[in-house]
Amino acid sequence: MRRLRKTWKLLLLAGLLWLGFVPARVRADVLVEVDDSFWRAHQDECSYFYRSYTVNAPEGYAAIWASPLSSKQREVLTNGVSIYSNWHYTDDAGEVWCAVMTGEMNDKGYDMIRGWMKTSDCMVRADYFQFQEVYGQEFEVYKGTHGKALAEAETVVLWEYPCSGEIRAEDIDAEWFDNWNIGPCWEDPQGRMWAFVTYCYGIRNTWICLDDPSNADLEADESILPQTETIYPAAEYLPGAKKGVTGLAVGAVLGVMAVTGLLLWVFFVKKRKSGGENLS
Amino acid sequence: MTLLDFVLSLALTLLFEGVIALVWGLRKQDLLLFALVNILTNPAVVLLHALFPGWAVTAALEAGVVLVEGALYQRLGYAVRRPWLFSLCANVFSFCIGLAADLVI
Repeated sequence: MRRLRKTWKLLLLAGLLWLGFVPARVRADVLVEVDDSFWRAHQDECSYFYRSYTVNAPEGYAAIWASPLSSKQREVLTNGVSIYSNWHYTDDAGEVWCAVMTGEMNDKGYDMIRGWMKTSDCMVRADYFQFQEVYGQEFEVYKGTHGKALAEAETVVLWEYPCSGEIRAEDIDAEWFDNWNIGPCWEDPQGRMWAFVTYCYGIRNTWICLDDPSNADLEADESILPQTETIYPAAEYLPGAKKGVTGLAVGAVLGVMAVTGLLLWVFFVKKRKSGGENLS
Repeated sequence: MTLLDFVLSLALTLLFEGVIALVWGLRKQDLLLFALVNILTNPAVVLLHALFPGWAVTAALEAGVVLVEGALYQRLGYAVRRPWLFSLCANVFSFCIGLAADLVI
């Protein structure tokens, strides 16, 4: 009996030790935390969705800020630079900020960001989200009439949105779609049927062309999502990032200077004058 | 900018330029003068650089610092040899150290 209890204890201990060595974070298909103090403090207020942008501010450049609440700039980017973001925050004034991703992770597996940028200083790049905003009312339920090409395909191309010309991934194994319930569909001006793919091998929110799923050469049609925003020219001169100075800092520096000036006068001017030395 | 930024900058300036001061032969009252002069100029330069970033402003600020410190060493120093040259050497040395640190970090 004693030996049995000892065996159970050893098994329990081994189980606890094994759990201790299991990675604390399962990375696949979960939200990755951000290595940023503002994000950690306002995590519940940040929305997770991917968007890519092109810097497009009237001044010809825009700043990446330390946080939406900070007066400190980390970088200044010229118009035309591409950035992307997974996290968005709306401040009290209604300004939407995006966390500018670096595409890298730190040693702990957290996403690293360059800082925060106002989306009003950017032009959103045409993506699946914008496509849905514009054409969402035309989406239709799949009627089973365009599945032959997909059934015969060995690989599939995933696109940003129909007729975008922008490939998110290609040579995707078509087996993924064997038992796939085809979601919202949309017919392009050329009569091809496209289907929205919520998730495929870790890639979210893409479209496939049901009538030509393997073709990676489907040309872009810019009339689908034409550029309507004013494109501002890039500035010729890029200012340095402002490091954020408060009135308190200015006052403190002036105070230190005043006190130091006084000390200099006391120890090196007054003292020597009272000692009868000439200052030359 | 935080208070720590100013304190750190001043501390490093006093450290690196202090080495030059000791090598230059500054002692006693002149070391006190050296410390007070840098406390007078360093926070102001850091503040102005934060307000007006850019290489042109940095160059102007550093030149101004050399002139102000040189003038104070000459006017108030007890036994500071070649005060203008000392000011130039000390400030160039600390500036180069700062530049090297920015490149490495």
